[in-house]
Amino acid sequence: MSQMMFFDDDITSDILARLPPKQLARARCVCKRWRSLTSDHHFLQMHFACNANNSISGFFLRGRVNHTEYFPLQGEAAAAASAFPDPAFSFIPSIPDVDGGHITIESSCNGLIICSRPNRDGHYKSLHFICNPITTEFIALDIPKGGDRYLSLAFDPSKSPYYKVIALGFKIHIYSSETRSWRQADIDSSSLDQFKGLRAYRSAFWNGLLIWIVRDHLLSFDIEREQVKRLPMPDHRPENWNCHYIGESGGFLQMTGYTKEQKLTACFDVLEMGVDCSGWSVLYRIDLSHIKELYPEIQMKVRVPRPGTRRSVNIVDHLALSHVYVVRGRGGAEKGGMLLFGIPGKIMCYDVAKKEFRIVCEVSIPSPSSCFSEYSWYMFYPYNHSLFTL
Amino acid sequence: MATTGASDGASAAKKEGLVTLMSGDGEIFEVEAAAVAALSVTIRHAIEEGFGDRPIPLPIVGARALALAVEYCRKHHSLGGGAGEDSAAYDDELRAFDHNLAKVDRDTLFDLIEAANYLEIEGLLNLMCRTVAEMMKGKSVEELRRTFDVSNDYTPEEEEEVRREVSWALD
Repeated sequence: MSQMMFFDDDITSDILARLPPKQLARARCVCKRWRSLTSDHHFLQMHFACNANNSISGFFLRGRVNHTEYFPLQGEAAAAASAFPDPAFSFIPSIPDVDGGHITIESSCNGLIICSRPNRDGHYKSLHFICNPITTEFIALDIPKGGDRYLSLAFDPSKSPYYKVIALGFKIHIYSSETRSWRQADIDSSSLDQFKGLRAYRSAFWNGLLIWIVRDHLLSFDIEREQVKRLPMPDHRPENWNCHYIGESGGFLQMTGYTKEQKLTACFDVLEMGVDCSGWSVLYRIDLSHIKELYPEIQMKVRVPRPGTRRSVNIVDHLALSHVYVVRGRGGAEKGGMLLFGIPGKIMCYDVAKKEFRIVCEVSIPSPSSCFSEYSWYMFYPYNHSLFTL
Repeated sequence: MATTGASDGASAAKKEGLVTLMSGDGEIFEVEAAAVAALSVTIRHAIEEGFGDRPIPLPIVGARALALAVEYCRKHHSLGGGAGEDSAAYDDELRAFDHNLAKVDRDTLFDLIEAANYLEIEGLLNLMCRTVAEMMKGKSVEELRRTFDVSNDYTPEEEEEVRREVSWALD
């Protein structure tokens, strides 16, 4: 008769890696062997991949008055069995009379989060932390002066147990968890000038690159080589075509974009970058026109300033629908593919294979309602459970 | 497919396509070579190495577990062509079969894991590991030790330390 204790390490790890984080933590208390098997990075990565199952566990959303909420995306059963991250981050102690209030998320990447607690005396004195919201481990990050404007977390657990924090300001500073120290990236000011016109503070982390939407193109920062470079854009795009979403899922980089006219039809493509950064191809063809019938109020007229004038406005058609996140599903086939998008008051999920909608959550966040805020991505942070250590 | 012909030819043709397996406790199984070779890497290699007519010895696999593993291979070969769970061929009938197979008692489950690991039947090993993980869900530390016959080798101080480390998960 076989016994659990006599299985070799591979089988035992294979079983334990399938447990949700909370149950795995309990298993660590069972015996020394289970604890040591489940503590090394290789196991934690296997556990992370197993639990992520080609999707995300859920997401944090920052709403009005900086109030952050967490919404699970996986099925209810899976969500109930998982530990829920505390969206208030109350495990990070607050210092009364100094703290300005709620914790604000700055960046999320593969189970780890950068957040900050504002200081009453001013933004530049905000306290920054990196944390794992499930295990409640956190450490303070001492951001170099002038570098706290755009913080991005770069963590690829399949490649290394160490993460980096990139602080983009008047310079670029890089923190490495391996050396526990900051250094200034060796790039010239003309490289930094390329960041003028940054449209969204949030970056995507893919393939060792941090990627931002800057004006009408994509700008990347290669973290190892410390180089700023433009990424290729899709061929044959019409004039006035703009990128509206950039994100990573399943190890690939996805983008959506359209012209104003295309936007009104609610039909568009999700593009994906080739692994060698060679170019874009169509991953999903999305038709959300049905959403216009279900919620006709998202078709509206908005006033935009007439170009070159101050007072007079043009009235234009607008579709209040914004892209929030693409889930790639399993291996590029439509199975498991999802598009999260926002309409006023709701975050919705479109199942690419089934062509079905569902409401993920009702939100109190003012959604993009004018052409100005069309570029808004909400304060959306994808999240996956992990037991990674800092 | 066997063709009819002379009587000894028919028996040779019947033997054709079969392979003989011998469990650790000495039981002999005559099974379709194509089905087991498609699912089990170990048996595929044994056949390739020319075990052919001789029984393939499977020293650590008991007869009961071997019978179930062979059943798994047959079903998955005939219904799904041995395709993985993401494949379209992985239909409701196969799922129902897997579901029933996973209902075996704990000891058979563990024997099946050893068997699937030795025979290198990836799908079966996955199914059984997932089943054990399901059994673990919702159980306290003490319940886990009891269910899986694991003895506590922590000193009280060590156990207190590890429990403090994961206090977020113990409520």
